[in-house]
Amino acid sequence: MNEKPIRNPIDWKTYIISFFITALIFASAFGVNNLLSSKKEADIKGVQDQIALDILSSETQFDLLGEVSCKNVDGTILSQEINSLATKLSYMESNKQSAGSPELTYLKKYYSLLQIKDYVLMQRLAVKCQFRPIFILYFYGNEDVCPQCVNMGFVLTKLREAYPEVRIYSFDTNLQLSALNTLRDVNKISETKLPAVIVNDQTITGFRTYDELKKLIPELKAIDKKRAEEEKVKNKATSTSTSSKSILDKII
Amino acid sequence: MQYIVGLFNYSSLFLIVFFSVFLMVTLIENRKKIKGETALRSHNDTEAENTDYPSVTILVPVFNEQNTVDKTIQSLLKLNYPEEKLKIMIVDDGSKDNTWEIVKKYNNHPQILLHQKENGGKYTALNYGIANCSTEMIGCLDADSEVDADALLHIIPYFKDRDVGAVTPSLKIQNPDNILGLMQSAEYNMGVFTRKILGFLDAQYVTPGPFSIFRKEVFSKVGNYKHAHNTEDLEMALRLQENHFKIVNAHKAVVYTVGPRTLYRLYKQRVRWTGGFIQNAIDYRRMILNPKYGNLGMLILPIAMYSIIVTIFFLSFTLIKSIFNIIDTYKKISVIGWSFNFNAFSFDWWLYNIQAPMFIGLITISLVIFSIWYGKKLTGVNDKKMIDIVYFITLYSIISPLWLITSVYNTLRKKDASWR
Repeated sequence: MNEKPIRNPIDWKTYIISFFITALIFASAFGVNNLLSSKKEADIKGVQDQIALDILSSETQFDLLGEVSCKNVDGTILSQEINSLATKLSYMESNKQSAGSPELTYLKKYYSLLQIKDYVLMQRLAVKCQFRPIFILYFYGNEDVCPQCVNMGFVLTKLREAYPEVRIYSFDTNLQLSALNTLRDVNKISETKLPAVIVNDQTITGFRTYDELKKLIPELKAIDKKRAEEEKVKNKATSTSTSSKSILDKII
Repeated sequence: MQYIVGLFNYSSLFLIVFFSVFLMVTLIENRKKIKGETALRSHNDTEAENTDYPSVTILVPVFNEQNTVDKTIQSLLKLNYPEEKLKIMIVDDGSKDNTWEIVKKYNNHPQILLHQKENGGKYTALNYGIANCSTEMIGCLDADSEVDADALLHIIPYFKDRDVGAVTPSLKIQNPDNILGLMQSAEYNMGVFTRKILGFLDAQYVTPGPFSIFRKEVFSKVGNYKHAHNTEDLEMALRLQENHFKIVNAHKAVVYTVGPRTLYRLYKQRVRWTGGFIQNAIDYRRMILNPKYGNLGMLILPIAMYSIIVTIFFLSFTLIKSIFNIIDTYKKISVIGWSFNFNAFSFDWWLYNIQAPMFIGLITISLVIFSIWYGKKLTGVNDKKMIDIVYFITLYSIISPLWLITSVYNTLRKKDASWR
């Protein structure tokens, strides 16, 4: 055996080839990632355009005829997409990559504006068609200004799920948007008193539990009552059909 | 701070993928060699004269192995190798059970030599054997392992290269039947692949206790086994590498070993291995990032050390993240109570966070699956079962940090892990 056999020398070619393949893998992964992100943004923009179109169409109808058919007005006249947009935006907010990005801020401003327009239009419709929609305006801020806002958000989400009839508009008070500032000024919302909720023209500041919030909206009781009655009728109908079936069985 | 963490994450990920790709590229570069080596043994078997077979002693160091020692000896006696060239030396390292009574029945066997000594640890039993044998080659087989009958025939031809100081076999788990066994089986198959590639790179840093065969003169040049933080097989490989001996791998030489059957035993074994690796690597730190030691110094040792840190880091990161998630969920529940919303489960691809690391992770997992499959193929097993791979990928990442953290902790406290 040789005293010191010579070791295989380092084959730098293998290192370089491997480096380039790895770089290629990374580049394609980030490429696909960017593609999906831009698709997501385009998706959001599409939803917003749809809502904007709906609002514009309703307004035009309103102006053109001086009235709209009140039959259809039960809160569904405006695109329901506004809720799905809210979910997507809150997802983007919780996502590290897009949180605080200029795109998100822009989308949020746009969304706030659409909410305000929806609110104004619904108020006009309510007067015209003499119905009382339930509005909740919710103002929130970042965690350092308003630590309770997260919890308030949970409560309102639960309320929205339980009562789709309630129209909840949420506004980030940090957004620099003149229309939003006006809305804040009109309702006298101060940044030091967040979270702030406006229900039935009543401004409430600070955290409220789900039950406390429900008590502030007596209309919900009416909804509960209506639902209970509907349930009763439905149950009756099923039991009647079963009893008639049993009578039928007896006859046979 | 976030920037630094991000940079660390991505550079670690890059390094992991780079290493996997590097192994694949090396495999492709050496694919013809593998084919040639696979044919090596049959050639030797048919045409070799008896003089082509060097004399070999297989050491079996035993300490309280009454349940397995007989099977180990039986498997060695079944080895296809000229009887007069093969000796089996049992070194009883002061067993306190019936081990000695069991091996005594081989007292008059022409191939078997029995020795008894005071207990002093595995490395002392090995050194005792080395001192007492006079064959050209010397190997070792732990008493919890069995060899394939052709294993030695597959190994010996590699010694034709005069630079080769040691040849390692392919290790497999014997009859894996529970989840831990199957998980280790996949892990060992990946080990078969990795060891083969490291052999091509001159970068094997373990000459596994079960059936690594050495040229005897190696020991007179580099010295005997040392305690080496209870991982004497790892230290010996590093010492051979430091002295520029070649360590190659005979992938067709299959050795079956019994893997730990309980999580606790597995944990103990791995704490010993990982701790041993870290401490020996520290002892041999002069080799790390030293181009004199080729791929081993420049890539394999640094990556192996770094991967321990990265795994611990990623685990802590995931753990902290899950704790925050649990706190968030708890907060939510305490505010609005339990609410079960079916809509939340409707699939909207939009709300799934598909990010670049996920694609890269998928590619890495595919490379891992490939290497396990290739490991099986190298040892000639045509196994289409995938369940072991599933267990390996899902379980290993969860449980391996346990021993990694303990090993690092032990190293910081300068504590050696115990054998059992």
